[in-house]
Amino acid sequence: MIGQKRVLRNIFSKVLVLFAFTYISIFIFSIPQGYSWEIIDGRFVSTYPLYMIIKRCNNTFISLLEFNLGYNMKGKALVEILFEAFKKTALLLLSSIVLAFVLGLLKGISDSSRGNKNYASFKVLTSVMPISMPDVLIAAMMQSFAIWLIQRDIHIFKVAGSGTLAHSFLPIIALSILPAFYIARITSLAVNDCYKKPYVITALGKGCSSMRILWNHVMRNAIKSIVEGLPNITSIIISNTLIVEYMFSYPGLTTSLMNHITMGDRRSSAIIIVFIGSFYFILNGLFHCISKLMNISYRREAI
Amino acid sequence: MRKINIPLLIGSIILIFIFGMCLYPEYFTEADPYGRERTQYTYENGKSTLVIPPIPPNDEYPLGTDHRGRDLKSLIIYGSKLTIFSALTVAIIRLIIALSLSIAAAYKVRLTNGFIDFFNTMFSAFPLIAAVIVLSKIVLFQDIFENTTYVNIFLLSALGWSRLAHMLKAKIDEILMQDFIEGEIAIGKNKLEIAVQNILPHLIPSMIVLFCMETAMVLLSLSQLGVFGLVFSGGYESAIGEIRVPIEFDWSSMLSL
Repeated sequence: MIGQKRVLRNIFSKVLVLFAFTYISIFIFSIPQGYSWEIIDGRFVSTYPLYMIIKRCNNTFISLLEFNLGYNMKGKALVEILFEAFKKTALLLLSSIVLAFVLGLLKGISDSSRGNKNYASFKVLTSVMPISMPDVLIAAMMQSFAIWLIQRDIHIFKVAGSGTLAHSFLPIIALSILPAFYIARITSLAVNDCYKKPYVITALGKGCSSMRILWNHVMRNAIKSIVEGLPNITSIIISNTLIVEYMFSYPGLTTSLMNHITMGDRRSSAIIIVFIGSFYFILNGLFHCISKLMNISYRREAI
Repeated sequence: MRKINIPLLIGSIILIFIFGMCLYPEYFTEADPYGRERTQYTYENGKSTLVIPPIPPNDEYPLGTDHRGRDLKSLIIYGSKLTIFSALTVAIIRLIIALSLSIAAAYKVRLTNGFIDFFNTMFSAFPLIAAVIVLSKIVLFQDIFENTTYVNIFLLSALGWSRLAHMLKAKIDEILMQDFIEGEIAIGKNKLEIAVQNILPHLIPSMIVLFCMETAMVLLSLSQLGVFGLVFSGGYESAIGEIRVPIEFDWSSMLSL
């Protein structure tokens, strides 16, 4: 009963945060560009009535709740724009997360010292350096590499745009690099921690092979820490999507957002930012669920 | 013999070089960053060539010029001042906000913990760059700060402190769990005294590391803003119709060209 109440309270607080996020995001976009304050008769008077901003914000909020998204400034239905962009961003994000997870796991295992301290600092440096590289530089380097290949008649990658699978390769790789090295750092630390545990020392003493120790003893326990660290990469991925989609002219949600901001269509921009935010909440929820499920399964095994 | 900390040595040399560049740019380049290489004809060996900026790297311009004909090397050197000043200012303001709120949250002051968490969630889901781009266009901020650089510094500081606060709170929680804190409470110190005399001194090493990391994060944010065409120092439209010509040079504005 207490457990159920706690779950309900958790769900309620998350829903509340989602609503607050949606309302504040819409509010930010509802403030007109010309909004300012003037001093008239010694009093601050806003150049645009505040109740009008709140009314505009409420209207957009209600229309979003009713899923009545309306049209953008060019007269195109927002549902269609969002649906297309949402599909493309979902493909980009999910593919890059999977790629980042696989690459990060392998790099993390190779980085971990596993009792052998040789080249440990160098391995750590190879993971830390890419994390400190600006995403702008990574995307630019990818594009330069693709151009270099195309100049040599190797047409594996497309530099920008969308439509074919080849168009998605570079954005997916560019988006997965930073999270991959972040996961590699978490993996490396978790694996090194596990190697200090008594059960691993016992297994080593019994003569188990290094591969068996790694997969059966270390990774089974390290994976929990790795999955728990995943929610931290969600914000990195979301902010990087903005740059990657823009630089590769990938027609996803964030490109659509920047186009609408440039157009000065603040209502459509507000709705798009809510959808971008929803990705953050979905991914975060997904990572938390996986982490919780793993915890439950480990607890059952322990019993 | 004591071992030399090579990463620290390399890092210090790079930092001294960058700060030297910020303070005395004239010693690092002779070219005037405001000077422009105009379209010109060269006549060599009976051949006339039309030189139109951007000019590729040559002896006179080691990094070439931009499309306005300005020396890229001197732009980078003169631009370091505003860029590093902005990044350090934003990082300092974020640290001040984050430190005060994280101490309050660690002492379980009503709503502070929830406020930090909500702010962190809010600007993780709402990309900070998009928020800065949208809010910087509002006239109110221009009227208050009267300078685009200050508007951008304010927005980056006011919206981006939550991650730092989150990390600082975890560190402060660790310190508050130590035995000596119980001793300080037992001798009758109040919360403020404990914060100033016990928490802050123990927090300084972490704060230095986090401050350096935050400065790097701000520089990354500036580069992202530059890609989206936000001229950090404020741009103007020149007489020949060029838009977003930076008033003062900074690295992010160079990306926006």
